[in-house]
Amino acid sequence: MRDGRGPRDSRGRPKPTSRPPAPRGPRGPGGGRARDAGPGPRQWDRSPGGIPPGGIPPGGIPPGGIPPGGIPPGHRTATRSGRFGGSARAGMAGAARRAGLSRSNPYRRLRLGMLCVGFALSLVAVRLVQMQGLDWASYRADAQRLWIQRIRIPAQRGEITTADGTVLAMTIQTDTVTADPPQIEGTTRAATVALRQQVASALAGPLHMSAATIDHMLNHPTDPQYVLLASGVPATTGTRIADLMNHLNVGGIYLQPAYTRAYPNGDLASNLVGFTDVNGAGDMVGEAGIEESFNRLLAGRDGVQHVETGATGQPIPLAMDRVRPVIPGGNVRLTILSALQWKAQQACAADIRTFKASNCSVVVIQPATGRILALAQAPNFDPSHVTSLASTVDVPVADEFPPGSTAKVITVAAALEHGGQTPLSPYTVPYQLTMDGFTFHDADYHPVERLTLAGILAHSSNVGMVQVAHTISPQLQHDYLMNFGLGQPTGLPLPDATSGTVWPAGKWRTERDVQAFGQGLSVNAVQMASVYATIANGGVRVSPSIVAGTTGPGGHFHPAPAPHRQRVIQPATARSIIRMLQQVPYLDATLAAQPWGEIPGYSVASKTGTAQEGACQCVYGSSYIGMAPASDPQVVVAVNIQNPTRGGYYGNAVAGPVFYQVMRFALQTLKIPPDGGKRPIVPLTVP
Amino acid sequence: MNQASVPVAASDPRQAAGGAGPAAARGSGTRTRGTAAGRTPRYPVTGARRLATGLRSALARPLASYYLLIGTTSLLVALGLLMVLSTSSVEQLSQGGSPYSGFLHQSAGVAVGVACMWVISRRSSAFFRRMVYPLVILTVLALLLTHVPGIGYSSGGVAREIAFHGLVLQPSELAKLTFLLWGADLLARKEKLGQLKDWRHLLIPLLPGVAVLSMLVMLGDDLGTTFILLLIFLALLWVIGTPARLYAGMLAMIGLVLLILIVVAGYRSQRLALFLNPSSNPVGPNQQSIQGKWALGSGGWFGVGLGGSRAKWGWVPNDTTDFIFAILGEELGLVGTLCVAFLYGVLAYTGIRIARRVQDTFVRLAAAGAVAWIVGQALVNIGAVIGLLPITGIPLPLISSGLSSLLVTMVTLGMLMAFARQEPGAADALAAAGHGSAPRALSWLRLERRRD
Repeated sequence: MRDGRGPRDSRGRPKPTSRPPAPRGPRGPGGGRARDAGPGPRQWDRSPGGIPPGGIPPGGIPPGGIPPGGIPPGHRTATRSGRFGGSARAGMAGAARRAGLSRSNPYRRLRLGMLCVGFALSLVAVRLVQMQGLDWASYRADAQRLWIQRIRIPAQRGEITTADGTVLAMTIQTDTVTADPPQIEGTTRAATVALRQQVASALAGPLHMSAATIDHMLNHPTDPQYVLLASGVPATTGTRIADLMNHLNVGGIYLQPAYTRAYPNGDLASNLVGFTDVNGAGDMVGEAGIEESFNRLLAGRDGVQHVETGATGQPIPLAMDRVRPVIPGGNVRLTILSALQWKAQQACAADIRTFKASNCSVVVIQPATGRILALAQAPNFDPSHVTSLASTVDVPVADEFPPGSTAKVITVAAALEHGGQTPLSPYTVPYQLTMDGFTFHDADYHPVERLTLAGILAHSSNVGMVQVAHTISPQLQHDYLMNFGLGQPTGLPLPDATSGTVWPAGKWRTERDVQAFGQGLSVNAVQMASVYATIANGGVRVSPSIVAGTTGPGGHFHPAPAPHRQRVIQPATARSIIRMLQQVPYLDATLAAQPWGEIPGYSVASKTGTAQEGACQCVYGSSYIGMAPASDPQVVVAVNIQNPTRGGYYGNAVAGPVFYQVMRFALQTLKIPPDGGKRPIVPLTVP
Repeated sequence: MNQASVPVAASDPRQAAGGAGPAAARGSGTRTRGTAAGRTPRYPVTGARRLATGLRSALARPLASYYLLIGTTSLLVALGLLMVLSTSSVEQLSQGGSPYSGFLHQSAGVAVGVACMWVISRRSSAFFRRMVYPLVILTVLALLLTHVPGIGYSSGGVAREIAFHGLVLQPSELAKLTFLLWGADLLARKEKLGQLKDWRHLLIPLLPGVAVLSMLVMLGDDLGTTFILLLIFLALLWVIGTPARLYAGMLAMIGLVLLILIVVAGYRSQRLALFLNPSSNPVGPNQQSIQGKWALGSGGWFGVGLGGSRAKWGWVPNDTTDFIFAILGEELGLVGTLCVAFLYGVLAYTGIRIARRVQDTFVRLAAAGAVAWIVGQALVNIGAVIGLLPITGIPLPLISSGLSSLLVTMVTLGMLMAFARQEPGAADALAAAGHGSAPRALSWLRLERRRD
């Protein structure tokens, strides 16, 4: 080894030798670092002496190597400027020229090489700082878009039940059955055919499809690896299919759980419940009725689970597992009684068949609480198979019609309280009468009669009511209409509920006359039922309600807020009107032989109505509203039948039978004790 | 630099190896607090200055290169083992094996590699020169064997391998070392004979040699190794001092050859086209590049933690080999990647330092060539991962999984250690540091008692 041959001390250690200062940075013109800076021996490693034992600091060796024997301290200056002296340099330069090849200094080359590596590494470092130090968030976001699977955990939609707990709408788990045909293959073509036939015949039973159909689907998939066999398959059937496939030891049949809305009672209260649809995002959305208005509560909130997976979809162990918990849907409990609702729907449906009517609606209200016990209509729809949106209209709240004679009680109430009238106030009632430039007549011809106010109401004389209306001011009449809830929102949480129309008194021309017998304004069935419920409740109007309460995600039942209560007429007025209305069933039974208001053991107060509708005034609306027992009314039933086209159109004839059936059933169902059925004697004619 | 202190400190081998004698207190005065207090500084000794001075004096010691090599090699190998454990476990698990089998395989390679390195580091440079022609014969034979059916087979369509008793060898890795030693030996002999005054002697037979070897490697369709061979060739020419004009000519020629090699193979030109005009589909042809960058970038400053990589679950192809740096970046973050870059920088510095300090042309050329190879390969690999270079499919030295690459690289670093031990003063320092390898290896801890 060459090193260590420098001067040594007595112990054999190399003698400390001072070295020329390490060059720093670029040299000046005289630095001797130019290309030909190797004036020393051409063959670098043959220079004797070598590097001083002290080693060479990084970047510190002088170009051209170390002179033989190290550098004596006294030669520092010379070394720094010219290294080996002019003569040697000239000689060697000449030699290089002669050889035609001037090689560069390897030490300089090595240093340049280090610079290159340093430059490359610093480029790398800058890029790394940019990627990881500055932009890491965007890289991570890009990556996580692919690396993280967001799994939606659907919230189960809540139930809609009746007051007695009958489930009207619920959510069930079903399975979608799909197949991946390439997975159902044997080793040979014939084996594949046989296997698929076997699978098809196994599935045929549970799916209620023919084996041939399934076999065809398996052999002609919509996508090479996908074919939908059936959807909405009940979970129990799904389990059976899974068992069958396990038994056959066949893969390739997949069951995907899904939620499906079920209406176990079919069209029971479907007008009220509404229906659901699946929107583009795959969520169930209520499209009508309670399903729509309570959609938020019923739907709950889907949970989201973030799962980090590998490229093949396997979840990465111990990786991030962020979950937004599911908020399950709440339940809605209605005030409806399922049996009563069913009875009302049956009666309605039978009636519109008999009279070939457009529709029929029944509203049953409990006067003291305003609770609607039944809100029936016919025709009705099956929420599971909605064919048209028009069929889902909630007739009792959405359809407006002129109330006809049933509205006479309002004007009578106003006349009793402010017109100085009593039930026995006498009137002369001709068949027709001209008032305010318009001629009014009664429904059937009759000679001039002397009727009491009670008689006008019981016989339902339009001419008489026009005279009664003139005992009060138009504004007062208007205020009574409004106070009874006409022309006002019903307050029911049903999306298509209407308010009806009552024109302001200032714009009236003949309205004070026609409104006295229920024309010239429009109402819905619930509003009219509420008018009679107010009278039945002794003059205090309780806003009708349909929802008994809700159950939140926590499972606690929150009763609906107490309904608004407002006194509309005095108790005495209400009593008087009820007494007058009690005459109606008797008159119908004795005069028309239509005893629809006569229920044995119960006294019934009721009113018929026949409205004329349409531009031709030839479309009829038949209604029958009544309460029982009249001595202490517990239930109000309002029946409205639109456009009966066969077998009559008078309220008692068309709507009466429905009233009779529903009221009877309601009294039984609600276990209302009979009151004896006594009818107070109220003179109808002036003696 | 503290000019006065360096020679004093470094010229005392015993002191350099650990003794804190009075000379140190007098001379350098910056090593320990006690000695610093014993001297009146001319200016306030600040922390940074003290650190810089300490670093300089540490580097000035004769065995600095040797220990730097041992240190960087150990750190890189250890980091590599860790990353192989992290990445291969997923692959092995998905194939139904033990999660540790890849790690154990690599560990066995490291054990053999350390033994080889220890032996090699104690050889003289003459030994390496003696080994040149046996190695050449072995390499050429092995490269030809890869084309013998039944023994050689291709993996991944690129590297040709030899299966030998269940062991998979890649002769192309050996070809790098062989060419390095052959080229360095050749040029050193020519210089000794004074033949390098003629430019023809510079290129012949070096250029035909690299051409033949490259062709043998390219028969296995391994452009990555060919590129490294050419890099070694360029490094040898550079360090021997090839005139700039000739060197530029060679660069242009090699560039042309590489271009032709890229154009003739459809998939390579496709790769280059993808690099120049990347597709944005993260699971398309650019998956490795795009998701590799996602992995690296999502590591952030401090990484997601060892073993916590998400990308290694099949998102980044070749994550145990060519793209292990992406997973390293994801798990260890900017801190980890900069450390790795720094370690390669230290390796480059040490190799070049050895090349500058030895007087033997062969050693200088071999050391410089080894640096060009290992650091160049690391730069090409990292450059591909971070999207600065097209993907060439070469492993990250010492870190990627793969025994052939690991063993050959460790042998080469062992050779560099042998060269470091030939540095001026190194032999004396080693002799003075104590007898036996254990005390010597721990001498930097200065655990010995003072001798005087």
